[in-house]
Amino acid sequence: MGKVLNLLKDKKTQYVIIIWILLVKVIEIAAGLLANIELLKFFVLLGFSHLSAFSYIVWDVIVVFTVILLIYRLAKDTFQISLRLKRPSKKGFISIVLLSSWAVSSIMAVLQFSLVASLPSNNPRLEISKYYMPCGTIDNELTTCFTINEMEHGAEVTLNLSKSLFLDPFSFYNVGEISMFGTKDGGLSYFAVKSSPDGQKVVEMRFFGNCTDGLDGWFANKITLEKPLQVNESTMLVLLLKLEPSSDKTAWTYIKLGFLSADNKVLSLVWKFHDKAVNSAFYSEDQKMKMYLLGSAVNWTFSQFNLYDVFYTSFSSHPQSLISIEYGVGAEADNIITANFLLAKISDYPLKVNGEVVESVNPTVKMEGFSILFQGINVSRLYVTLTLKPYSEKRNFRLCLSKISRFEEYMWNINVPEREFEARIHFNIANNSTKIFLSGKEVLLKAHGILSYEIESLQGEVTMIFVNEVDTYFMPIVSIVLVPLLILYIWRNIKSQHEMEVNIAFYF
Amino acid sequence: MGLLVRLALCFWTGHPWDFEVFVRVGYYVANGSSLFGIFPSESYSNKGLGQPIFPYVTGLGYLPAWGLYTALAYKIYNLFPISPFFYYFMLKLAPILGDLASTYLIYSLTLIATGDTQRARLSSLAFFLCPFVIFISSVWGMFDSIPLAFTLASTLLLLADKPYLSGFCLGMGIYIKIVPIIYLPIHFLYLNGSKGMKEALTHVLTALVVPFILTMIPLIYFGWENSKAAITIFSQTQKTGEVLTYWNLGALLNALSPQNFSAETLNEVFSFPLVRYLWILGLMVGYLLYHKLQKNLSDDFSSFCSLDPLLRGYLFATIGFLLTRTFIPEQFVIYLAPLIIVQTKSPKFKGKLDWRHVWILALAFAFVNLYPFAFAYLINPELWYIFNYLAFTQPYSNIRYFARFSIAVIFDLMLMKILSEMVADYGESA
Repeated sequence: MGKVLNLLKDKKTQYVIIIWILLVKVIEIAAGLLANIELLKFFVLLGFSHLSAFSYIVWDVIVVFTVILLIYRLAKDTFQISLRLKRPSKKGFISIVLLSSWAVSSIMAVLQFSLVASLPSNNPRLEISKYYMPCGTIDNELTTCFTINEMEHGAEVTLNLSKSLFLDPFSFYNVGEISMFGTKDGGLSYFAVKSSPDGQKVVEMRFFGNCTDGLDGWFANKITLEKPLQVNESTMLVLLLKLEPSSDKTAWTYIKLGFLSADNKVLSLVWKFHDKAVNSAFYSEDQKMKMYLLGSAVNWTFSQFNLYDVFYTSFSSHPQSLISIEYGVGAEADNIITANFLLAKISDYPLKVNGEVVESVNPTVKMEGFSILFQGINVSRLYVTLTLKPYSEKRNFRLCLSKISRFEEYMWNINVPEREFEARIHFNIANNSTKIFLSGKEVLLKAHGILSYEIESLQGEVTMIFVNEVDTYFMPIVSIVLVPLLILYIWRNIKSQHEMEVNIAFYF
Repeated sequence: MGLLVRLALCFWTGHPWDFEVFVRVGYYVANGSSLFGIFPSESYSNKGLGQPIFPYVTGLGYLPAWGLYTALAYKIYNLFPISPFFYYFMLKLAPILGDLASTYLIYSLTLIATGDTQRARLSSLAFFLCPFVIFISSVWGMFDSIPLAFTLASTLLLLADKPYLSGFCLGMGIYIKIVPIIYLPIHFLYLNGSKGMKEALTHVLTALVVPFILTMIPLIYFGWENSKAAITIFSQTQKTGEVLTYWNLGALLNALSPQNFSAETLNEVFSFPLVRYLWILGLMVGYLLYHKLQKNLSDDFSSFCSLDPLLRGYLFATIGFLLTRTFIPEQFVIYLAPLIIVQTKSPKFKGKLDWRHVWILALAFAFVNLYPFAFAYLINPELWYIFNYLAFTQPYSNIRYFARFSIAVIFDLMLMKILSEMVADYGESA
């Protein structure tokens, strides 16, 4: 232990440690700056953005002390400036203690205030969602038009394709050639087209494993087209699907399209989705099939592909016609997995909303006027979510003797006829102790980490207030204990000095 | 004899995780996948390759060299698909050749240090016949002997007064596995003292530009995502306290008291800046020790430019790194082998260093960390499941964690002893 202390007292050791700590700080700063550039975002990994608030404070304190130590060392070693502390008198000692206590408590109070002040905004977003019916079609019924009446609020509009109803969502959905492996007998694995209570068609495929651990099983339905479908430069595959996750992250589902190429070769493309974020692409050994692994689909996933382009990119050859479609689902055989397709459509047009190609299940729509133009697939009911901006936003602080509080207040107006919509408020609570008041009533979240709240039958003005409070243990010391003590101490000092001056004057 | 043992062991053994990753990466990359993806077991395990013991494995945390080699190995196997064992053999062939190259280079370096062919023969055999070296390359399937060979070749070229070619060789070592980059500042200090700043900087620049260009070429040619490549490689700086280091105490504490030492708490400790980047301090100390040794030898130019101080510099840096990084896989011990073997054969050396102590401890740790039978998982995947059960089920797991920690502490104490012995030997070598 003594050796270690001696080593730490050594000037060179101190410099090595100082340089090391400052080097780590430089890495942090450089990583942070480089990560701001879009292309170099990955530098964030070298930094410490994931550290907890406590670790970050400790790290910052260490850096500050390192800088102070560096200044001290440089002053001593380069400029021969040395600090020698005199032993203070009794009065001086009391002054130092009082001053340091006051300084520490003030710093703590300021820190507590800055902690509350710097808490991220709760940023609530009030969303109302409802079904819209088409108000007409244009371009020979290729485009469906919807009118959004509530746009006067300056709302942002998001569509939810998984809740919308499509008129003809599947190009091929008959049962063809079934193949399976590692499944339980008795028709427990199946391919079926079902209808939801809203009338929405869904292809449901189930893989019921035979309970063997470590065995990869599957269920597939291959539909061979009697009349091959011609593929041209604008033929699209539009998919909207969801895969139930497995217990061991082994589930997958795919759609496989068999093509006849321009030079009469049979080649296949596979779009495969997992319950884990797997992104990759590779060829079969005979180079006749290219498989695209497209990440996790445990939530509704929308994607669309230009078949002509993907085929050409994969095989450097042009497709002539589509000859088969295969749906598949599988996992390790100790799982029961269901895959649902809401869209599996071969279309001559890409799915576009207001002229923009749709790339996600919840596309945000750029509104020009009050209309949404839905192009590519016929839709009978569109589920639209409007995010309303609050018409008033206020933030203020309240300082009490034992508490610092921050208030955030937001106000909206809802003017949508009742029972036609679902309303929900999303927010980011700054911390678990945040109190939330919705139109005067406290909202008690049942569990930590709940970030959204459903509103029931609210109309007119909606007010939401977030309150963050922190108990300030040092404020009383600052103001109650220390201030009177200081006053007393200074008053006595002045008095004794005065007496001393009087005595000196008398002596002379 | 060493070659026969290697060939007998190589085609049916492998580390259940690392080798499985290599097998899959080779298959998927050869079939057009990006090197930096996640590789599922289905669609390839049906072809009889590897074992489906992990549903998914991650890509390699290295620059592209090794991934490209695994793809080449698969392509060759695909031309002659006799048996999957041929593919495993192809994957192990490069590390075995790395062993051979390192053996030859150790022979040459010992000859330079001693001028005695008998000693040179003995030291090269001490490496080539070492069970730990054989285990790492032909059983585990790890390829550290290749960057090691490039590093040793770089040292030889440095002594032969060819600094640029030496920089190229070190750059190739870094390209294959990034570890040899820790020797770059030693080379800089050596060249700065012997030839001047210009040569030293050119050497450093060459050693850095070579891996950079060789990394960018496949990224651009195959269209792999730069960001994914960087994320895979940078994630190596975020490893928690594991394997052959006293930092594996975390795993033991977590096993004994998961409430007090939860995974989150341990992760918080290991991601704390000064813990995560402690290896920078370790390397700084190593370089300073070498610099001090250089100062001691500054009056005698021939000693300054000789092999002995250079090897000591490597040893300081390697030990500094091994003692401070929170993640030390067993194969890193390979980098100590030539440094200790050649040093101990040198007539100038007066210490009690012994390579046998080092490799016996490292091998013992490797067999406690992953029981020997698990390396035969390619023959029967049940062997992996048996290990998995024993390694993570009480009370066997606690015994394993305790044994791991104890051996790692003894190993680190031995490294500290070697370091202090080398530092104490300064004066004599000057």
